[in-house]
Formats: sequence, structure tokens, C-alpha cells
Amino acid sequence: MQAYIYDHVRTPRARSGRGGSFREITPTALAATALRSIRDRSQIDTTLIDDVSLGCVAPVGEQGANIARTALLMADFDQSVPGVQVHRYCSSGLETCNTAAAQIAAGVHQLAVAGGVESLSRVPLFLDGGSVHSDPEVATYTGYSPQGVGADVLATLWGFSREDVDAFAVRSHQRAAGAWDAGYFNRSVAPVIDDNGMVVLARDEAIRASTSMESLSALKPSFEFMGVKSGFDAVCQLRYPHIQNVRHIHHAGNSSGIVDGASAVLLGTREIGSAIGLKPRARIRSYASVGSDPTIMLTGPAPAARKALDRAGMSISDIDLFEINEAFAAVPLAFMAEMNVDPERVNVNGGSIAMGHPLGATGAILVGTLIDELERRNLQTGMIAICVGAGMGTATIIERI
Amino acid sequence: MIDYDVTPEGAAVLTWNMTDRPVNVMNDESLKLFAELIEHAITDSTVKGIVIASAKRDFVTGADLVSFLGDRTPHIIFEKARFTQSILRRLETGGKPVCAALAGSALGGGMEIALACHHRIVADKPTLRLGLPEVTLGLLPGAGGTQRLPRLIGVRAALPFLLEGRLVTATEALGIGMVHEVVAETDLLPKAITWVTSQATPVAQPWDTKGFTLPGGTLGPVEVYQVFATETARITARTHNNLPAPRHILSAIYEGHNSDLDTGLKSELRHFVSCACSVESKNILRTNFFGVSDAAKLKGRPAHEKELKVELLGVTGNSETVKAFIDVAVAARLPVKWHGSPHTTLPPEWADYVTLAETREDLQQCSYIINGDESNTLTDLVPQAFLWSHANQASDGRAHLRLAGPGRRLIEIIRSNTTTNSQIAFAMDLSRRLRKVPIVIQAGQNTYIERVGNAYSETVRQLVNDGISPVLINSAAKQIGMDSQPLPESESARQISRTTPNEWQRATDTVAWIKDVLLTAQAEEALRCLDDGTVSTPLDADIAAVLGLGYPLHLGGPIGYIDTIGAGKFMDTRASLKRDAPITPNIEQILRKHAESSLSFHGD
Repeated sequence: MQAYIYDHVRTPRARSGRGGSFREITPTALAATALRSIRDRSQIDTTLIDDVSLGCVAPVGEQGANIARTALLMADFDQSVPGVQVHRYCSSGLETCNTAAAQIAAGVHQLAVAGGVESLSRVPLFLDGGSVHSDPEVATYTGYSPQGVGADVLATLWGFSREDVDAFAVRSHQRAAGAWDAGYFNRSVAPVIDDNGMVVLARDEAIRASTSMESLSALKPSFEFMGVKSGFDAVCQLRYPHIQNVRHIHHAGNSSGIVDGASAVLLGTREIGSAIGLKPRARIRSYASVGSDPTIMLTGPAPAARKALDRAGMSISDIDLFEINEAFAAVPLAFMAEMNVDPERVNVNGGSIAMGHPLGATGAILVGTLIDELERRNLQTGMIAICVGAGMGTATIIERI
Repeated sequence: MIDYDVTPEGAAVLTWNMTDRPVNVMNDESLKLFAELIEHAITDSTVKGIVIASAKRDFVTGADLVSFLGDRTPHIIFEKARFTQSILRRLETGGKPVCAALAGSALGGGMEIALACHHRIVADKPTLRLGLPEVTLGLLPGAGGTQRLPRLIGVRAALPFLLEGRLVTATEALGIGMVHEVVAETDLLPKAITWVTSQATPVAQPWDTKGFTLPGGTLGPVEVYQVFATETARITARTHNNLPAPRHILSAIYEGHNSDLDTGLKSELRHFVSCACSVESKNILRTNFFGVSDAAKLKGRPAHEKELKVELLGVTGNSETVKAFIDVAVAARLPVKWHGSPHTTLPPEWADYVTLAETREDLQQCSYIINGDESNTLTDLVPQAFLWSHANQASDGRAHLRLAGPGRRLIEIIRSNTTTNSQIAFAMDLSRRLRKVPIVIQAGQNTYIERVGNAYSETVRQLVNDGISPVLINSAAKQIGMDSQPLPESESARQISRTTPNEWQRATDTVAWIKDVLLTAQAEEALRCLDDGTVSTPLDADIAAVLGLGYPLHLGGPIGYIDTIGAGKFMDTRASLKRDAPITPNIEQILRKHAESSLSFHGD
């Protein structure tokens, strides 16, 4: 049995800083917006949906107590639909697609909704605690270092300069702004509307088309203090002893934007699609998650990609387009260097540096972005690869039907 | 041992007074009595409150580590530490007001007793210090210190005390809320008695009172992250994860700070036992706490030799070595008479302590002469003169001194077969006056420190010649815990260079190998020195390497390192390094003997 992707949708991504558009919008409302939209776009009878799984990286507070089930009730899905919240850090939204596909392929589900949600405005980073970074015994044993410091270490290891990472960031903004202007995202972004029917936000608000090498050069490194003063450089150097000095080159402008947003993807069997009159747009060809260095936490995408390619019996040259999550500019740059991939096939419509990274939602957003772009270019095969907290990586290969 | 009096006002005064010892220590006997007296005071209905005091200059210095760590079986240390915790818990939950009257310093266990009291009054003395320096001994406070101090002053404020052994004066302690009152020493006991007899009972600690929150508020998850993730990294940066104590202390705080005190004490107890039973803790205590402090107190000084009071030190010669001795004397505020070369001028930083000797006869008044002028024996001049020159010239019957590198605490006293005990004793007295620690070695071509130091630097040189990256060699030295880098920081490594994941792994493997190479080279040379009598005991070898070369304390020393990994593993490691140098046959025999019978060099 094969798992097919029928549709996908996302909310716009709003800056989570002061003045961000979703500051007063609850994560439940954001997730419910995505769920309502995926239902209405295909006029699905929700009693047919076997499960709704949503990725969420800080499942506490407003995002706690299984936000997937909460949000689907608020989206007015039938009460017979169950929901589950999934946490594999930044690939949570991709994980929901992968496991939904596996459950469909296994014959467990016929129709499922995957996706994710994160309101970094209302549930800030680290509010969920966690021993991996806060328990001294665990953090010592695993060599915990914040990902930003890890990004600088990754750049040092690969020999990337400040110009390299800034140039990548400029390109992300330019590509994202260009894609919006050309209307490439119109089909898949559902505006967030409040209870009064007023539009809260209809377009990603973090993109700055004017971003340039000059404007980025004014930004100070964000992780130098943590690296040098708080001792995290030393933690990384224990693992990478050939680094004499960590080059702190990442900053707010070449790291993923901190934003709020939600996403949803509709997956099902061929039969259910025929039964309810939907045309499949793509299928999930293979996927893989791997563990990688828990100190840098950003080296997982390449080994995950190799594993997924291996499972599909494919080689890297079989992939037409890539979405490599731009957690930090060094991550896609390292992926391209390690896998020998042409930058013109990677993140062609920009990425998380320009549009932001709503952690739990991102994976499913990238699936959707990739399908839309494969269709627009009339290409066949695409890969999503994401670096994952605590040192993991997830990659998924999709294929148009 | 502990005096017990009940005052007319109804205060039971427990006065620590261990007459058979210079200081009050917590050992099996004193703790048992302390527990009985507290129980008695709590249950005696005529007693209104309890004052804990000391008849010594200082309060209680802490656990008697000899008795405490005599048997390093986890369950024995667990039971001992739990007993101490239970005494203090009974003290603070008995309902009667308890006041610590601190006339002198309260460090470590003494401070932990004070923290378990409801009220702390301290004498206003400038020399008095309060704190929990256990971490500097490679241990953690195991009598509630990791739990009560954060509950008293807040987690962030408590960290420097617990993780770095910060000490404070009475006034500083008052400012941060560690104590309640600072009073004139004569008022100390009256104030304490008044306090304990005027409280409404039952009295309870803040942390045993309903609604208690940590000072500054309970730490939320984001603050927990900020505090503990960062402190963990700082510990790694400081210790390269070689020292167990700071990490166990931080874990005890992390696991305990948000729970009830009894639970927190259990966290502390488990970490205390893990730390105390670790081989690193054993090494640190053996070399530093026992070894270095005994050596600094001149424990090995020949008995019955008259003490030399050095009031004026004579120095001759103009070499860098001579000047290093003068630097040390100046730092130790010891007046120096210097007979340099004819054109010697006095550097301004020496002016307060050094005067120039016009003639050799001017040195006559010195109590000790360090002679760096090899052309001149000076034997005619001062009958008790002691001479410094090179080790291989130590055949003239004198004791010769060799100062370890700048900032190092070691003096090697080089004795030859003719050196008399009185000369050794005088050289030791001078070392102590110079605030250095002496180790006596046997004369030879080179001193012990020169030999082990050369083995290290020669190995580094060979590695560089073999094309090993200086960055990797420096990283390996840092990871071992050597206190300085063997090679200058490389300029080329600042350039951008691309490396691949395979190369990352190779670098990690190479560093692991370099660490073994460096540690093996030093240990082997130390073993040779032990074998040929250059150094007389394994402990001397370890103390000298730690103080003279910056050898990492957590391994104990180069001989401690062999014990740490075991002689068998040491031989296997040596064989696996694939280095050219063949092993000396006696050394191999010694190692084999130790390996076969699982003997340690230190016998512990």
C-alpha cells in the first residue's frame, strides 16, 4: 500500500517578537485555522479522518495536554477523530507526515491529517524544561551546547566565513520575497482570521526584501557570549579538539526567524482519494531519521538523507529539488558541501531564515512548499531534510504522481 | 570533647572542645556525642533553647577525612554521611530554638552545622571566614550545605560558594543573609543565650515552614535552563570534565532545590557518596589534602634538628635562576642581601626587600646563602652556608636547591650521599620561609622535575616532528588537565580551512592517542626516578609533579595515574601506542609485578 499526499496548507508566519501579529492568537487557534482550512479546501467529511497528528516542540502551557486533540475539537472536527501530539524537535511536523504515511502504508489508516503548530510568542523556548540541557549530569555526559553555538562550530568545521553565511541569508530573503511577489505561495497559505471575521495576517511578516550584505554586516554575533563566557565553546572543543577558536559568525540575520505558525497536510490511500473525489499530488517515497552528534545538534541532515536515499534505492542526483531547513545558514551550506548539491536546487523559494521557523509546524510546511514548487517547475522528485535537537536528523523523499 | 552546660536562663550551651586535637573535627566519636547532647537538650523540658559554640579559635573545621574516608565502600560512607545529616535534621526540627555562636571561622562541616541552626551570630573579627570549601578538596558538602545554602540565599547566590569554595567575612556574610548578627566577640555568647531563650516556640526553619519559596522565587524552567545549562558548561570549560566534585555539587543543587529539604538531602547524599568514592577524589585527597599539606608542614623534616630562622637571605650570582630565587624571596617578604656582578643594579620592584652586598664579607650576617656564583664556594665565609648550584655538582656535601618554574610551589632539595640531616632540615626551613613546598630528591644528572618535564617536552617535540598538529597536541594537554599549553597557539589555525566529518573523527582519535602518549611518557619517567632512587616515594613523585609541573591533580600524579588505570592497563596502553622507545627492563618488571598481583604503587 502507498501513502499519497492530497493537499497541504499553512498559516502565514508571524514574527514572535514584540508587535508580532500572532502575539494574542493562541496556538490552539493557529492549529485550528490550519485544520479547518485543510478540511474545507477538500470538503472532507471529518468522520473519515483516522487521526490528526500535530508536531509541537514545547508541548506545555497553552500547547500542553495534547494540542492536536484540542485544536481539532476547536476546528469543529467530528468528536470521533482522535489527535496526537508529536515531538521530535524541529522535524516534528515532518515526523507527523512520515508516521502518517507509514500508518497508511501499513493499512492502519485510510485518511490522516499531519502537521504542526508552534507559538513561540506565547510558549517561549525552554519553557518546557528538559534534562538534556538543564540536568548537569545529562548535559555533561552528552556535551550539551546551544544550537547557535553549534552552528558557529559547524561553520568553523566546514571553513565557512561570515560572508558565506551572510550571502546565504541574503539569498533566502530575496528568494522568499520573489516567490511571494510571484504568487507562488498564494495557493497554500490560509490567512488567520479572528472571531470577528477580521484578517489578522495573510502573508509572512518576517521577510525583508531589502536585506543585503551591508545590512547584515552591522549585526553582532549572537552566540559569542555563550560560547566564550558561558563555556560552551569549550564544551564543543572537547568533542572537536582540532578547533583552536570557534568562529562566531551567526546572528539574528542568518539564523532562522523566531515565528508563530501552523500547518496541515492531508494524506491517504489511493482508494480513499478515489472514493471522495480527490486527486493525489505526491507520494512519500521514503523517509529516515538518524541520531547524530548531540553537541552540535545540526549534523543530522546529511546522514538522514543518505539513509532515506538508501531505503529508496536512489542516489542524490535523482533529487530535483531540496528543502533543507535553514535553522542556521551553516546547516544548508554544510549539507550542500557534504552531499555535493547544487545551491540552485536548494531552498529555491527561500526558507526559515527569511520566513521563520515555527518549530513544530516547519516540517509539514517544507513538504507543502516542495510539492508546490515541483508542480510549478514540472519536476518529479524532492527531498526535505531537517536538523533536529539533541542531535538527530530527519529526511523525507517525495515524488509527484 | 563537647562541653554541655545549661545556663540559669535555660539555654543548653554545647561547646565543641576537642582537647586532644588542634581543631574541632567531626569524627565518629564527636558526632555520636553531638547527637546525644542534642537529643538530651531537645528532650530536657528545662532547656528552652540550644547554643552551639566552640572553645577553639575556630568553630568546627569539618569531617575528619582520615576517619571518614578510611573505608571507601559506598554503603559505609552513605551511612556515615546520613548519620551526620540526621543529627542536623534533628537539631533544626526539634522545635527548640538553636543558635550558632561563631567566634571564629566556620568552614565546611562547621558551616553546615551553623546552617542547620535557626540563628547565626558571628564575632566581628577581620580574620574570620565562612564558607564551604569542600569543592577545593575534591568533595562536596555532604551535611546539607548544597541544600540549605540555596534555600537561605537563593540558588544563584549560593553557586560561587558551592562550586568555587568562595569564602566571606562576617560582614559580607551578613550582607547576603548568610548570618543574622555580627557582634563584638564578648557579646557573642550572651546574645546567643538571649536569642534562644526569648523565642516563641516551636521554632522552625524557613524551609520547613508552609508556603516557603526560594529567595528570589522558585526558578521557572527557563531560569533552570539559564542557571544549570550555563553552570554545567562553565564547569566543563574550567575542568574539562576531569573533576567529579563540581558536577556532583551542581547535580545535588539541581535535583534538590525545588523539593522538600529531606528529599534534597537524599539527592545530596547520593552525590556525596559517588563523589567521595570516585578515584579522582581519592587521588586529589591523597596528593593534595594529605600529601601537599604534610610536605608544606615539613612532615619529612629530619627529627631533632635545630630550626633555622631565616631573617636575611644571602644570594650570590647574576643568573636568571638566582634572580628567580630573589623574586620568590621578595614575594615571601624575606629580606635579601644580594652579591651580584660588579655592575649589578637593583630592579625597583625588589627595592623594598633587597639590598646589595658591596663585598662578600657583607654576606656574613645572612642566616642562609644561596650561592649562584660557581667560581666561589663561600665555605670560608659562613659556617652554616647552604649553597645552590647544579644538581650534578651536589657532591660537595651541601644541600642544593632547585626552584620549579615561575609560579610553581615546589622546591627540590637535592641531597647527595654526604649531605647531612641538618643541611636538609635547614633547606626545608628556608623552603617554608619562601612559602614553597620542599621535596627531597637524590642528586643525579638531572633533578626529578627536570627528568619528568623533559620526558614531556621531548615527547611533544617528537610529536611535532612526526607531523602532528600543534593544535591537537595543545588540545590533548588541555584535556588531560595540564595547566599550561606545551606549544604556542598556532597562527595558521586561525585561517579558514575546510574539514570533513571523516577528518573530525580522525582528529578526535588522534587527540585520544596523544593524551595516552603524554601521560605514559611522564609516568614512565617518574617510575624510573622511583626505581633509581631519585625520588624516594610514590607520594613524593606525585606531589612534586603536581606542584612542579602543573600535572593534573585528579590523576594524583604520574604514579597516581598508573594506579588510576592499573599497571596492566598501563602496559597495554603503552604497547598500543606504537611508539619506538623500548621499555626499560626493570620498569617492565616492576609494572608486570604490580599488574600480576593487582598491586597499586600507593598501596591504597
